[in-house]
Amino acid sequence: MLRSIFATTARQVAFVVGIATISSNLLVLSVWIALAPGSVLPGSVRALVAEVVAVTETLRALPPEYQPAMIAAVAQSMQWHIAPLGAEEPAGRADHVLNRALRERVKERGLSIAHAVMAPDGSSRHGVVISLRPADSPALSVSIGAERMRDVIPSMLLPPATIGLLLGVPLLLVLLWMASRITRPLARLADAAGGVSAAGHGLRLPEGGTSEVRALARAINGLLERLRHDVAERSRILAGISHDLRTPLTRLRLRVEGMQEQDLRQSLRADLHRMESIITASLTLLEAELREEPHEPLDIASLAQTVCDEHADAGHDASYHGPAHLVLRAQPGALQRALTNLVDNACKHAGAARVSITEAPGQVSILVEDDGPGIAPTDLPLVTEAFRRGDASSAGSGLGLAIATSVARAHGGRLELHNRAAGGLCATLHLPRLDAA
Amino acid sequence: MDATATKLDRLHIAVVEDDREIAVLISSILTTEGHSVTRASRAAQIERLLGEQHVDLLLLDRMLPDGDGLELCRRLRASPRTARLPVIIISALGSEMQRVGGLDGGADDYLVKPFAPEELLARIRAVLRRARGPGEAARHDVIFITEGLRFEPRRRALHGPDGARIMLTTTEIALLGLFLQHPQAVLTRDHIAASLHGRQLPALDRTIDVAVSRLRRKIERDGQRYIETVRNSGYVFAAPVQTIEAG
Repeated sequence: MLRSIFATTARQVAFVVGIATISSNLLVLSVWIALAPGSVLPGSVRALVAEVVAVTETLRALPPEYQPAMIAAVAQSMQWHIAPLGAEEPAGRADHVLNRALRERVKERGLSIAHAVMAPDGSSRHGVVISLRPADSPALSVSIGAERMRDVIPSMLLPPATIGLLLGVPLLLVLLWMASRITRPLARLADAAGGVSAAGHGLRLPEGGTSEVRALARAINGLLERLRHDVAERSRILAGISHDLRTPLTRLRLRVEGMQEQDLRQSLRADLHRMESIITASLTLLEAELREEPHEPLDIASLAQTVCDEHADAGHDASYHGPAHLVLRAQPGALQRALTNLVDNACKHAGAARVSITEAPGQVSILVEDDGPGIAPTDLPLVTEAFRRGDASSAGSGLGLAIATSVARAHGGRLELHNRAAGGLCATLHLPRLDAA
Repeated sequence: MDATATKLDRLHIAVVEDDREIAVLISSILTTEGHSVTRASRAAQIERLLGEQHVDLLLLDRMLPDGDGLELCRRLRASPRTARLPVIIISALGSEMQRVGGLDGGADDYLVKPFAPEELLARIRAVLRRARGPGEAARHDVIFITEGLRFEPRRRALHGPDGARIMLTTTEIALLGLFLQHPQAVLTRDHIAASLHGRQLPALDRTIDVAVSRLRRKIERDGQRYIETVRNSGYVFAAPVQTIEAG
């Protein structure tokens, strides 16, 4: 759970910055409260309280005969209603913020006035009644109307601690957004680098963002450049070998046809055929390593069916049992070559091949099973290596399994060979399902 | 079909090949078969020849001293005079990508060196059969679209309604191409056999029926029927087919 929440660098950065900001704010706040406790109250609240205390003090200082005139004047000009107060407190909800401000103000002035601020309507915004009980004069109440209270920032603004923490949420969202912006070039870089093998040649990553991201992009681009250079060179060598070996071979092949001696012609034809197949297989292996063929959605069930049908048409016993359709991103030509090699082997060594396809989450497997002699366990790890053969005397280039292995790797998968319990060999192409669809 | 066979007998074939000995050997194979052959070793020579004489078929090496054979092939396809000239590329470059590139460049077939003489002759026969075949609509530079299926004869590629490539055997590709060229027309088994194999099949031969049923299994889904069986006669591709020019 936690790991998934903090899975991205952006979230971790946002979290760290958020924690740092909130804790530093709390630190400043606590120092502030310790040094000047009153100053944390909103200014408008303190202003109101100061006015109330000033008016009350002035009223008390006046001779009693002038007091009614002042009460009337205050009622007239400020809409404050000052009245004598009995023993009981006015009804309503106590406003703690105003009370606290009043207490601090009274203390500042060195007065001795007991007091209470009540909101008769439940909300201070609709007006408050302040009861003041000076030690040396009769108690009185000051009613302040909604109009004046509208200017007083409500007590909610100095919220309980829980609401203070909620303030951190929008802050965290902003931080998250900013952090994701900071790390976005990295994510883009990863995306671009991931697309390199599929998009093929000529692709460069954008060298933008912070200096670290730029350096990384430059390094990857340098690597790509060297890779491209190597691939281009291999392609050139491949074309050179193809041409330089196949041209004389073509001459030989055609010349042999004109020969008179039947036996010699036959044996030369056989040798030429063998050379040809080794060259073709070697080149196919190099091509598979170059991975030039683009990947595209491929119905691998139709591929398995096709390979089996081609072998059946050539007189072999090859059959496919599996789903009628199954789509996977793959290199159609290369995969067909790999599967053809596996079915070829089965037909050659066992006389028959059974192909099937199984699905597991995230993976598709193409199985080629036969009832032949299988492969000696000691040879199993070796047979997929180029120019290694389980049975040295057997015909064929010895590259069929190496090609299938290379093709499987080009698809991000692998070739698995094992002897079946019931006898015979099972060759499995395990291919990851990269597309979630 | 005898008429087609005799027509194949005397052809004027141009061979473009920079290796002199291979060119001579190919020529002797073809002349032994009764064809007349003109040899050229450069792209420029063959372009001049094609302007002056009628040529039935061109055998084209991919690597020429004065340029890429593929480029020449594209130029030939672009010119109205030679757009329909059957071309077989003969090349030492044999990878899947190179073959597809060659067919994309407009070649009718792609033969990888080295090859047996019989194989060369078989390919020539197949290409000419397609070019002169019934309907003569056997053009390569089109795309057929039907019921979400998309078939590109040039690349020999079929894509299903979900955009996924559907693999076909060589026979199935030829069969599908034949059906798509003649939608809503009844094709007899004899007609299909002649187009696919260049010959009649014995009366009880099931080859065509097997091929059709395999093709059906690959392209028909959810109980749809594109290919209908016409009793005692043959098959008909019943779905409407749209033909567009390949870009």
